[in-house]
Amino acid sequence: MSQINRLENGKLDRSATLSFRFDGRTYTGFKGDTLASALLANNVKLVGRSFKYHRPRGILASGSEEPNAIVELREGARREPNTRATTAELYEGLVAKSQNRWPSLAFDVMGINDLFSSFLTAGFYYKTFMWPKAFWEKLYEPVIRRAAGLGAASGEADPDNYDKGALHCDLLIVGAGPAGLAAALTAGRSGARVILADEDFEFGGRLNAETFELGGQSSSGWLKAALAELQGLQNVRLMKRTTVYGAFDHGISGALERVGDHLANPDAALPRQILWRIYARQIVLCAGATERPIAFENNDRPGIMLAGAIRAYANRWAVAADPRTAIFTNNDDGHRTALDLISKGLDVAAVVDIRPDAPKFGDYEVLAGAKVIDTSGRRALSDITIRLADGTARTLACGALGVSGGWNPNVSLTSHKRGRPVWNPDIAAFAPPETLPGGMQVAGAANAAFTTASAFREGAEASAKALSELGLKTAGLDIPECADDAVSVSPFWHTGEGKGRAWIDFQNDVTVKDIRLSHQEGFRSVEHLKRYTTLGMATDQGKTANVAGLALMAELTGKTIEETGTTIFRPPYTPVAIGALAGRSRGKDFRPVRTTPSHGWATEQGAVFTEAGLWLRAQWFPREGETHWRESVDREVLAVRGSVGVCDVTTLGKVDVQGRDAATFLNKVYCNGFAKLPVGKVRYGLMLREDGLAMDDGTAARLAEDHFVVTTTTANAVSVYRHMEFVRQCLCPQLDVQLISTTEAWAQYAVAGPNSRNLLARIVDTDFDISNEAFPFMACAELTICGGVRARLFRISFSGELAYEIAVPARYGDSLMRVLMEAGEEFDVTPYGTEALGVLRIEKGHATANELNGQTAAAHLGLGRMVSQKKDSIGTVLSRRDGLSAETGLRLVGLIAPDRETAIPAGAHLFNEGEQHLPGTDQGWVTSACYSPHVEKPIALAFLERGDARHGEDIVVANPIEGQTARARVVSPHFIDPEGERLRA
Amino acid sequence: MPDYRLTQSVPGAETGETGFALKNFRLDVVPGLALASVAARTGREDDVAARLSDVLEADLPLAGALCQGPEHTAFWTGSDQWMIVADHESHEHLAAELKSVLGDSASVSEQNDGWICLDVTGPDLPRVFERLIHADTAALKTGAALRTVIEHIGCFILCLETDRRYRLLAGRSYGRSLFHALSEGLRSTVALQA
Repeated sequence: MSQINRLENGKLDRSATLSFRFDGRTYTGFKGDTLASALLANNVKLVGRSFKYHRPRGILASGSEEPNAIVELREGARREPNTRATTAELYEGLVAKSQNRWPSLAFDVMGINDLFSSFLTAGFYYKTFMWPKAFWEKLYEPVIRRAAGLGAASGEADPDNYDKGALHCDLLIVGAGPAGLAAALTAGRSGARVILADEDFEFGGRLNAETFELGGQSSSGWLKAALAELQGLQNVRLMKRTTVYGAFDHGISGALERVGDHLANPDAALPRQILWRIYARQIVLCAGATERPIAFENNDRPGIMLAGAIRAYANRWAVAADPRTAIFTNNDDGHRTALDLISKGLDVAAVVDIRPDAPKFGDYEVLAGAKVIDTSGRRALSDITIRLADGTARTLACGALGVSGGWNPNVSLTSHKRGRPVWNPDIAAFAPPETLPGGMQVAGAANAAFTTASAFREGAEASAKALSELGLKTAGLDIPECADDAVSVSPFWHTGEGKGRAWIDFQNDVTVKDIRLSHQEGFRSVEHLKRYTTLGMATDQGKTANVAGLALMAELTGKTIEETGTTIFRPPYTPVAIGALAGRSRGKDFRPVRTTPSHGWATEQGAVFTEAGLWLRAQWFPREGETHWRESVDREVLAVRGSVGVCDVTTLGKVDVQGRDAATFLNKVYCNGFAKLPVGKVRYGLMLREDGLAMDDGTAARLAEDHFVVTTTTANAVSVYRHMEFVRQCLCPQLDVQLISTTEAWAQYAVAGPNSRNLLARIVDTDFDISNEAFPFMACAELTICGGVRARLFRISFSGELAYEIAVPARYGDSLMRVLMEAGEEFDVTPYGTEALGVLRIEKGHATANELNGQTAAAHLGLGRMVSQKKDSIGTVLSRRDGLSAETGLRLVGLIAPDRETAIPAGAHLFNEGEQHLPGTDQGWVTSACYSPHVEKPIALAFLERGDARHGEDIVVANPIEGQTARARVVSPHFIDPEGERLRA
Repeated sequence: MPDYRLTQSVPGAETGETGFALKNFRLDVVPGLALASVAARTGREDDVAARLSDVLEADLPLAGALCQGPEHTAFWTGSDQWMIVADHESHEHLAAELKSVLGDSASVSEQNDGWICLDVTGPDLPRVFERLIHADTAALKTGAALRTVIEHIGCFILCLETDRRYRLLAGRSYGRSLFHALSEGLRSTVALQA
């Protein structure tokens, strides 16, 4: 029969019947059910197997604290392991599967672990698998890894979208139970910007689970009216299905909103979850409380639940955990469950109350001063054994047992900034500390106020206090008339009878015995207890387990719980999917892409692109018939050396430096002199860090007395600009200098090769003379091209050839590239990419990022004489340190392979012939390597000790990691035109 | 005179992504803008403010704000620094025009096409931006200008009409990624509101 445990009423939409599957069987439930309530309605009590012993487990709780009912939800790529059935909102077609069992939930082979439980106690990992030593890697570890863990990830890419975002408010209220609602009404009416967030898919908190009246009407009636008012307030944002999982610095909270988890067929554009960063000026924490169980022998059978959960299932979800239920309690709240079950016509076998003076509130049997000492039942509870007050034992038949060991305030968020909860003996639980994180108030059950009236009162007061801190006034809230009787609780943690196991932490299979063992072996500090036993370390983070574990340790050590202390909570309050933390930053959207104005043209040419920082740059341009990238690159290099090539260098950083003191400023940031650079000239410049090491190199072109254009490497464009701003604002505020990044404003192209001038002559307007005499090496000018388009021309060369860089406003970039190709047809102009650019500069011996790697100084680069001793620039003094300037230090050299086939791998280290390859004998390393079409052999740049004095030596190039060894000849780093005749031609 | 002529290619044109519409939302590349940045030289701040106000025919905007004159818009970009925006067709040489007025009182840098400009229109746009921008866009009033970040992309957001119309400026090279981020933001907003 379908839904045989379904009762009348409840907060369900019975017009919407939903079918779902669990372990391959189809069941039905209603809209408003959770997977757990629907399973209980269908009398499915066995839902999982425990972590270590593979014990049969059922549903313990009704919320996010659930340690047992952990399932795999959904199928295929959307499969999500370790999901709590108690928070999974039912939808049509939901598919769930139990986990940690094989071949089936009912018959689990690994259940054999339970028979060997005495060998699998806490810390068994640390004591076993010690010998033989060789077995660890091949046998023990693989077997343990296979057995460990609960569910399994799908192994497929997550097909869903996730978003991240930021919200801002005056007041964030965490939890929408009585306290949260009172806080929201108070703040909402004041006009403050309010966010009310609750992890549940219905607002109301415990109001949804109870039947009492509020202000003369049903609690659901009051709730409906309150929510209608809040929904009507534009300044209040109501966020269901939103868990505030962490409290961070500066009033920032992390929240996870589950947007599409409850939808059968979510829109493809809908983010599955949104990770919110909430900037709140004040926070009121109304997170409620969590009921805790009591430990007794075999207290983990399916059917044994928290008493408050049984009540919630009956009242909210109209589900009987079983037709016949017993209650085991140490407080009055357990009795409330009995009363509610009776009111629904269910059979209450007895209320077992450990208090000798246990109260009786209705027509049910109370066994005062008694305790449950054992249970039986194969895959679900069938009987409980009770030690009566007179010492005799009695067995009661029941299919469900509601256990209430008291309630723990949910103080997690008060701990996230190192707040340590304090023991409150009145409620036998930890409560929030007196000193709370700045801007945070706690109200209601989270603040140990366990009556409904006190929750309303505290919520309203906390809200008013929080807003008064912001200078906002509030009106008093009319608290609905409701129960305000103090709840009596008598601390009781475990029955202490029997030789069997009594569970403290259900999810991690930590028992009373484990905690005793921890004590016996000296792991008595709460921090040691946690790590030795794994108490509270599972996905539920010990929400139902921690306090009992600490109480037991306190008993064993003879200390009070207060003296024993507690571990503190860390974010997240409940698990957060990695996908949500990543948001949109994954796959091809991991980070933005930057493209140059002529990117489209390069794409049309079939360019192969490479990432340079965020930029996409053409790496080479393959032509028909070329089957290997080297063929393309070699062709491009030879084309530049032989005639002319064009390369997109828009990505180089460009900084406009203007002001009366622009030259003085550049003198400060570059180690070489710029003050006397004439207008219309460019100079190569080297920037040093404060510690004297090289930071970046580039050029500075003087367009006017008070105007320079500085170029940086692509990779360091942002960091160099930031450095220059730091110097301007903090080190030299007296200088009149202004910096503007213009990297994006100008499209820039290198035109290199013996025919480069001839090509440019075809596009430069005739008013401008670019002959060698009028526009020599290192000249620059602002001119016009193609009939009046503004351009900047720099005669600089990275390739060692006669070369220029020409810049136009970005909107003309694409067109300029096409025009250069058209105008250069006569010269067989060739576009070349970054790979050829690299080969050309290695052949010329130009350093770049591979050489300026944060470990090298000017002297190492062979640029020691560039560091001016006549002025004070950043890094100059410290560049004189022995380690950076010694004659015997590293020097940039060239390496040539003995033949065409011998590769010189970049990153390889250099050793003298005959010496061992050890750090102590290391002579240097290879920074850049390529095949040189000019030399017709592999060549490289390298740093070598005393390198400038060792030209002509043979050296061993070794890559010990991959077992490669080769020999190379040490030469000048200038493989081509060392006199620089070509670039001055 | 060379035989060759250059044609203009506005940001976004290379990828063809110049507009996007979904339900009541629109996202459009604004192609025809001339931009120039102006930074007052040390000790000349008042001089620049006066001269620039004359050009704009409006008071210079303070921090976090923009102002609109008959032909120019200006927004604050830093201490004594502003971005000046005008129509490209009539002010292609905006930087030179400003320099001629400001002389040596200010440093002027041409920024034409260095920025991609996107206009976003639609109802309750802070609900779109809240998943793209960390700043409190709901608090922006008409005339506000804010420097912020969208999906790692630094940009300015100008509030042209509270809740309904905003202009975004980011580095031109980020155009494709920014357009993608915003269009995805609009798509997911529509899905969330369904």
